[in-house]
Formats: sequence, C-alpha cells, structure tokens
Amino acid sequence: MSQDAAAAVRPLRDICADVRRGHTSARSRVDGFLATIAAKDGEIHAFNEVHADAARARADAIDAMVKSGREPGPLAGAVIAIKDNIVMREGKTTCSSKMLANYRSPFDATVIERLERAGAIFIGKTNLDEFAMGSSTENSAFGPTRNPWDTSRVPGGSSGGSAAAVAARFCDAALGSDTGGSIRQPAALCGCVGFKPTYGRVSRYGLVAFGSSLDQIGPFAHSVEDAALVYDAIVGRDELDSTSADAPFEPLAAKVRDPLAKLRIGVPREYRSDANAPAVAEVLEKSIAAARAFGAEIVDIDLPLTDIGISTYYVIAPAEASSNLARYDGIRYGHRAKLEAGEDLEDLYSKSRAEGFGPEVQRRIMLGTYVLSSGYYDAYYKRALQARRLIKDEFDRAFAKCDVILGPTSPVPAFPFGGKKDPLSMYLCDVYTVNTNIAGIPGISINGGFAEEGGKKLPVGIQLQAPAFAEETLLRAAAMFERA
Amino acid sequence: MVGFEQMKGKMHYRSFAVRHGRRGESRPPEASSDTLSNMADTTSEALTDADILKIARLSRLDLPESKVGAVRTQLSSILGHIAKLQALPTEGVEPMTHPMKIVNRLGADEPKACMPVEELLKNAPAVEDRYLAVPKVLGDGGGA
Repeated sequence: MSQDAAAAVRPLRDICADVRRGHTSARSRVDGFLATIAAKDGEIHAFNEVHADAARARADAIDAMVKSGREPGPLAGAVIAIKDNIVMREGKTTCSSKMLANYRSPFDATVIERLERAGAIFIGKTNLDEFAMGSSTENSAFGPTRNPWDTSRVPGGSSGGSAAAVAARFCDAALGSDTGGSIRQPAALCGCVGFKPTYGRVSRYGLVAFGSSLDQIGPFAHSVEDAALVYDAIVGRDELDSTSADAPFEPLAAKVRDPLAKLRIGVPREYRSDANAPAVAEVLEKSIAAARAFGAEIVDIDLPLTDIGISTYYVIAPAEASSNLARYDGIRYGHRAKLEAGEDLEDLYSKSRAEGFGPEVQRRIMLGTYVLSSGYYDAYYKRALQARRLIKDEFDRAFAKCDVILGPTSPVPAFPFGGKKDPLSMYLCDVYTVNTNIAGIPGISINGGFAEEGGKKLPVGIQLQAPAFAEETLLRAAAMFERA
Repeated sequence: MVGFEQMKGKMHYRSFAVRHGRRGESRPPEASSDTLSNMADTTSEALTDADILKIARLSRLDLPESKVGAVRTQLSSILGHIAKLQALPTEGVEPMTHPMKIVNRLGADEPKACMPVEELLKNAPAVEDRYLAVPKVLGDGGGA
C-alpha cells in the first residue's frame, strides 16, 4: 500500500479534460475505483457506504453528455468521496453514530449540489469519529478506519475515512469537515493534502452541525492543485447559510502553480516545541531549509497563546456541540429508546440519547453543558471567548510580519490503535490546528516527509496558515513546498 | 514551548455541588468498567458524583451509576487542563463569539416551496397519521 500511495498521480484537471474530450470514460474510472475499493476497503474501512450503482449511473450520464456534445463541467468524471456528516439524498447520512444509523436525508447539502453541477461523481460516504468528535476515527460506531500506510495505526480524525480513501486511491478527492483540525490532521497522518478554507468560504448548509462558529468544509486531494480544483467548485456565498461569506473570489486552480515572489514565512518559536516527535521536528527543519532554498524569507515570530488554544477550544466546541446536539431527542428522527411502563417524555429523551450517542459525544455534551451552566458561564465560556479574541489578535499581529505561518500539522505521526486512550491525551494532538478554527483563518496540511517506525514509512505533515480570505497566498505557498 | 503537561485545577468545581445541595446524595466512587478510563485518578476529587449526575440530567443523558466514576475522572482531567484559562489576563477583552461580523442578514421575502411532510416523516421513529407520536406530555403516566 505505501508503495502505491507514494507513486505520483496525474493532475485531476488533466483527467477531467480527458473525460470532457471523450479520451477517457467516466464509467471506466468509476469501475476502476470500485474494483480497488472492493479489493482493499475490507482492510481499510474508509467507507461507511459505497454508492456503486449511483456512481456507475452518474458516470454513464456524464459519458452520454460528452457524446452528445454537452459540457459536463470542470470536474467532469472526478470521483469524490463524501464524509458521512454531509447530507446527500443518496444513501444514508449516519455521522458514524448509532443515533443516525438509519437516517436518510431528504435534501442534498449545498456542496453536493455544487459538485454535481461541476460534473463530479460521488463514490460513497466515508467514516469519521462520531459527529466529527475525535482525532483518530476510533470513535466511529461502525468501527475504526485503518491508516493505509500502516494498518496497525489510526488515520487521524475526525475525517479519517476521507483521508484514508484519498491515500488508498479509492477516489480522486474527498470532502471532509474541520472544526479543530479534522481535515488537516488526518491529511497529515495519511500523507495527502487537506485544506480548511476561511470560516464562511464554503456553505455549511447540509453539514451536520458540531461547533457552528468553527465548522468548515474542505477538500482532501493528492495535490494542492487538485484540492484547489475541488475548492473552486464549492466556494462562495449561499443564501441557505447566513454565515457564508460574501467575499470576492476568483478560481484558484489555474493559479496555484505560479510561485510567489518575496514570500515571507513566519515560523513561531512555540511550534518548534520539545514535545514534537523527533521526525516531526526534523521534517519542520527540512521544510524551513527548503523554503530558504526556493527564495522565501524565514521570519521568527511568537504565538505565545498557542498553548491556551486547546483549553479555549475544549470550552467553545463542546459548548456549541451541547446546543447543536440537543436536536437528537428521539422524536423527529434518529434513535428512539423503548420505554418501560411509567416512563415519560423526559425518560424518552435521556434514554434515546444515552443509547444513541457514544462515550466521546456524551462526554463533550456534558462538558459543554457544564461550562454553559449557571455559575460557570463566566469562568469558562465567557473567558474562552475572551481568549478567542486574544488568539485572533495574536494572529493579526503575526500576519503583519509574514504572509503565511509554517509549522507541523500534528506533534506526532500516526499512532497505534488504542495509543491515546484517555481523552485529554487525544485532545492534545490538536495543539497546532485548533487555533486556526478559533481565529477563523484558512489552513492547509501537505506532506512534508516521513517518519520510520517499525520498518514502515509514516507520513509527516506540515501546515501553512494564512490570514482570513488569503486562500490564494496559502495555496500558492503550499504548492511551492510541494514542488521543493 | 507547548506544554503538554496536565494541570491540576480545582478552583471552581466545589461550589457546583454545594449550590445545588446535592453533595452527599451520591454513592461512593467506585471502579468503572468503562474502557476509556485508564488514566491516573489524580484530579477526580474536584467534581463529585452528584455533580456528574446533575450534569448528565441537564444534558438529558441517562447515565448508569456504574459509569459515574469514569465520567467524573475524565471530565475532571479535562477541566483541570481547561483551568489554564483562569490564569489568562482577560480584563477588558471583548468576548469573540464568532469569526465573522455578520448581523441580521435578511433573505428576500418571497414564498418558497416547503419539503413535503411525508418526506420528512420518513425518518420519524413513531408516526400517527401525519403526526409525530410522543409519550403523554401532561398528567401522570407515560408509555410511547
């Protein structure tokens, strides 16, 4: 698997151009991916559900469009996997939770409609930590996803299925969601590109809500340019999401190959932590040297609030989650418990939720309830919102000195299953990714090198962050590292 | 330097139980079979079992007594780490609730088609006619 995953992949824009010209059929591409999935996903478990029939039918429709001379769109024949917390009319949307094990969405998310309009084909729904809460995909009610590079290790999370699906060559690209690193960290651990746009760039309509002021949808892909191509199709204001941004936008896929002149790259002292695994520290230093070699200026910066990010995040995200997940009450949809004689409506709520939610989701709901409860609101929630302001201000000051910030995506490469059993040690994996969401800025993880453990190569990611709405700078800088 | 150390923080937890008058109502802490709880029990004295039961009730989560100890250990450990926030100087800092400055974005006042009721009811766990069925809300007794 690791040999396969290390081999170069053709640029998606060339593949789609071939499909548009009729040089390659969309159907043959779908059949190829379905064969790979049939052979390997039993071991990887990237998918909760593979939409084989729908994908074949959709591919045939695209091939028919091409034959009849109609334009199928910029993503014609691109085969895309969707994280199972993004709703689609096709199949189920489970959030990898027993609560929604049989839920069928009556509508498509805005990102699904937009990708379809661009000519994409959906191959299936990918596994995740239940309701996107976790950093290893071990919290799925349907069993964990395994890392394609070493199946004894986690793929990261929460979008572990999407990352593994791209790394295992089950699709051209995938969508994930990122609330505190859930796109970037699994991309780092699986050796692919994972891109979280600025908060509000991509509509959240149809993304099952976790932390509404933090959640953002973004792509996984084999390259920065492929990620940009998918992003170009989903970006932009949506009247169905009042928090989607009205900011100006130009397609980026055609621009990412242009290098930036006079790029200033900030490297925070706090990111060169002793707590980083040796391979992570080594990859970061090599990346800094590579940046100097391609002519960038390296600027030492300080982000002293890096360390407070986890505390801030694990107040704000559970607080928003405890509110968002209140909708799962066993009444309108989702799991409903069977009541004993004499039990009432409140028992129905409490039993349905206790049976339907797994331990991590229950833990975060309780944590959120606690920090929002009377007498604790000021001490925890209000203080976390103040810390949020200070973290954002700190980024603003840093971006006065540099164009992008470089660091590790995760302090550690992929860890073995069960390696982080206590919740807090799992939360600490998010140290470099949560502040991106807290500040609402864009971030991307690309492969920076490899660690060697137990005779196996494990990918190590590097992360770039940029000011809000500076995706063009972010992606062009990331592509420079990719080529270096 | 990014600190990965766990901090002990006990500052705000006690009053929770005291204020609600629940202290002493709970059973004594006991070992739990919850597989997620394998960490050292260093901070769990901060929250009481009564606190945990109260939080679970507010969360509308039925929590078996056998799991209370494990949940208490885990929440206490997390809250111990979160207690770092207490040391942050925040005097005069305006809370930031959201990354975007959008207020009252209004849509056009035009009627649009709704989703069909039948479609929405397909996901409902219990339906009577075209309505969601729930246990009796008012008066004694329940049963779904």
